[in-house]
Amino acid sequence: MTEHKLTESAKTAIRKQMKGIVSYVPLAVLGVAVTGCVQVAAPDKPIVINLNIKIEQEVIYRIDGAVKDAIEENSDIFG
Amino acid sequence: MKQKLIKITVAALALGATASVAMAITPQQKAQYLAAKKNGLIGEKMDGEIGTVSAPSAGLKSLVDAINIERKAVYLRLAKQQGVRPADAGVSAGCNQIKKTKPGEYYQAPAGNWVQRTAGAPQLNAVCPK
Repeated sequence: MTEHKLTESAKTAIRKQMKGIVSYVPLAVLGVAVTGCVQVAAPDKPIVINLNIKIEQEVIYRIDGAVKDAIEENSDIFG
Repeated sequence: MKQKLIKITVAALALGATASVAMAITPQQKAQYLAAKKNGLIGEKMDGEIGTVSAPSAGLKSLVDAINIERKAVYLRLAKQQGVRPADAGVSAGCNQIKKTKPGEYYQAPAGNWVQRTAGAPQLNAVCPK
């Protein structure tokens, strides 16, 4: 009986230790993940998206009339 | 009585706002601006603002800043009306202002450098209407 109790308490102690270790595991994974992110997010060259230029050109065409009117209405600052 | 007073206050505020917009640039400032443009001290930029072609005096710098603040207010209004970004309205105005330059005046070329307008067509930003 005494032997059995001892075994139980030893098991409990081991479980406690395991729990301690287990709680560090997610932190370790997180650490790896963060390091991975930093390495991935550093491209050498800027990414140029030409689509932006086309959208802007359409916008410039569309608002040209309204802009011309505004320029005329504010001739003191658009001399 | 109280309501009348409020109405008067609101009317006065509205008048003040209108007046402040109209009086943003004084006649002297406008004359100074036109002279600086003619003399090649300032030029039209692609973003719809004006810039100094060479190192400006303190007076000219503050004049350029004052005009650009007013222009930005116009672009902000246009952007709201047209549902575009203020920068889009600015670029559109830049196209128009550069087209309007007279020979001898300065404007910003697509590469970003100042160019003196000749009798020919100006070098326009690729997004400008032809």
